[in-house]
Amino acid sequence: VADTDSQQAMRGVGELSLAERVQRLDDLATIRGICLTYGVHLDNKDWEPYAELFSESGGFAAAIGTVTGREAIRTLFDTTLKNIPRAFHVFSEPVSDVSGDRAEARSMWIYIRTGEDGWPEMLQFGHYDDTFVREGDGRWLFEHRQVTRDVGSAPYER
Amino acid sequence: MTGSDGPAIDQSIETRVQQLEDTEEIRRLVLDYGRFLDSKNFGECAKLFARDGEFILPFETVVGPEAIHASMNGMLGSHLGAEGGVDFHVLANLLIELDGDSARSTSFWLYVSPREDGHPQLAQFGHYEDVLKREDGRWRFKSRNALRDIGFPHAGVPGAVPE
Repeated sequence: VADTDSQQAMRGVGELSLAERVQRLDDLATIRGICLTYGVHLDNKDWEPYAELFSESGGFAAAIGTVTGREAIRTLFDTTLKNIPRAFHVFSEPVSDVSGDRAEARSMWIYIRTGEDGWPEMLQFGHYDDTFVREGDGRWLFEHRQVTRDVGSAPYER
Repeated sequence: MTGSDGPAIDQSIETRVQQLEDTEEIRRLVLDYGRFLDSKNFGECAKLFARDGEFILPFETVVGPEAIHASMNGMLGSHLGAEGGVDFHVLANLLIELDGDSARSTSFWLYVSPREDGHPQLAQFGHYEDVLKREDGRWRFKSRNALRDIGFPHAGVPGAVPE
């Protein structure tokens, strides 16, 4: 099924103009950049720019909570993760598709923190299912991010 | 281009293709570094630095490809395994910001090596902070700062004695 989808996607690209093909590559690069910038703000607990990556009515769903809108996203993280020691989110390459002003992406995440022995410890592993929207000003933003944890448990759950 | 600033709608196609190519070449530069480092091909690894390129380590700062090559040779058996194919740097979260003929990038490194029982272990974790420049038409490291965020010097290095 994946091969068929991929072949269809490539046929679609072949019918695009040069400008549209460059736009598509730009869009894919931008979405990749948003996924990485998300990790920078998350690991720095920088909730203001973190929430700005979501659209005004953007949704976030994870074990930590399910919320809608930037203010609710900021509040959720500020409350829950305030006293959690610094950790790092390592991401796989996102697999993404763009269609006009909407896009989808999927990627894996690994949560790494300092273990009791001082060595790095892989505490959790999971994946993201994302939808993105291009706003009127041309900016791509998260419309929704679904966080699924496949292995492990979070520090705030212990 | 890889940030969240949105598409550059007013830029020419030529400029935008150039930016996509620059991003791809810098991505390749960062990945080649890891490949040459792990195969202990330090001559090729050092050539990825600009003529005045700085390699900033927790224990020293080295300037220029020749000195960087020598410094890497000195890490064998202490900061790096004594031969290629025994320890590995997994690179991730490569974020690139272009600014004409210069650029900045950050990336994570995961140092993976065999435990005494042969199982793989995540021994150290850190990140790179890079400044890049175009030199003779090719992207090179103007400075590469290798920072350790979790773990200890020499930890997990095959054959090394931990501090």
